[in-house]
Amino acid sequence: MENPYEQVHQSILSRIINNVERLNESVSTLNQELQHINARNVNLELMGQMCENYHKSAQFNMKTTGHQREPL
Amino acid sequence: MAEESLERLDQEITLHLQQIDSNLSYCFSKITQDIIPHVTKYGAVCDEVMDSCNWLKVMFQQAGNLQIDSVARPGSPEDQQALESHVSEGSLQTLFPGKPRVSADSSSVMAPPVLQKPTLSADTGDITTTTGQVLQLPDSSDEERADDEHTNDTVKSSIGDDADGSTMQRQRRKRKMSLLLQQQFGSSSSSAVPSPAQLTAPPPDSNLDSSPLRKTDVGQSESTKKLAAPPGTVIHFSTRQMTQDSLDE
Repeated sequence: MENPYEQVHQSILSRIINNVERLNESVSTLNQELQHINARNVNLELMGQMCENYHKSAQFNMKTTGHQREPL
Repeated sequence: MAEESLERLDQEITLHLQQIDSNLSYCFSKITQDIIPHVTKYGAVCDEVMDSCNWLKVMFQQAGNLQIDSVARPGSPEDQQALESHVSEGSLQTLFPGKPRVSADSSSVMAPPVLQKPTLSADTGDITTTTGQVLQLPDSSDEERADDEHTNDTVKSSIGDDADGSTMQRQRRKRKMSLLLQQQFGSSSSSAVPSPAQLTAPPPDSNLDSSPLRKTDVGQSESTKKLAAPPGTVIHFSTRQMTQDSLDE
C-alpha cells in the first residue's frame, strides 16, 4: 500500500529546494551590492579620518600658538 | 491506532513543510522586492556623497604634498600629522584606483607624490653612492635639477626650501667629489703629491697648468671612468677644488 502523503511531501520538498536556490541567488546579489557599497564607504571613512586629523592638528596648532578664540 | 498516529504525523509533516516553503518564499520576495532596491538606492546616495566630497580628497592630497615637502620638517606634532595624512594618502592611493569613477581624477592628482618620492630616495641613494662611484654624481645632480624644476612648476610655495636644499646638496657633492679626486690623485699619481706643485706654482698659472696634468692623470690611471664620462666635467670640478684650495692656502 502506497502512502498518499509521500507524493505531497516530495512535491513540497521540491518546491522548497527551488525556493532555496532562488533565495541563494538573491542573497548573493545582495552581497555583491553590499561589497560595492563597502568599498565606497571605506573611502568616505578615510576622508573623515583625514578631516578629523586636520581638525586635531589645527586645534593643537592654534592652542600652542595662542591664536585660538572662543566660538562665536 | 498506529495508522491514525501515522496519518497525523504525516499531516503534521506536510504542514511544517508548507510552513517552511512559505517562509522561504516570503524571504525571497522580501529580499528581491524590498531590500535590494533600497540597497541600490543607498549605493547611489553613497556615490553622490563621494562625488561631492571629491574636492576634499584633492585638497588633502595637495596639502599633504606641501606638508611633506616643506612644512613637515620643523614641528614634531605637525610632522606626526603629516605622517598620518601621508599614511592615509598611501592607503587612498591604493584604494582609489579600484573605483572606476574617481580614477580619472585620481590618476592626475596622484602624480605629484609619486614623482616627489623618488627625489628623496634619489638624494639619499646618491649620497650613499658617492663613496663608490664618482662620475655618476653630475648625472644625479642633473636629475635633481630637473626634479627641482618640476617641483617648482607644480608647487610654487616651496621654491626657496627646495632651492636651498638642492644648492646645499650640490655643494656637499662637489666637496665630496673634490675629496675623492684628491684621494685618488694623491694615491694614483706616481710622482710627488700635487699639492706642493700647486704651492710652488703661482695661483692663476697653476689653474691653467694643472688641468692638462689632471687630464693626463685621469687618462693614465682610470680609463674606465674616462670612457664612462667626458673628462671635462672632472677637470671642471678639480679646478674649482684647486681654486678653493689655493684660496684656503
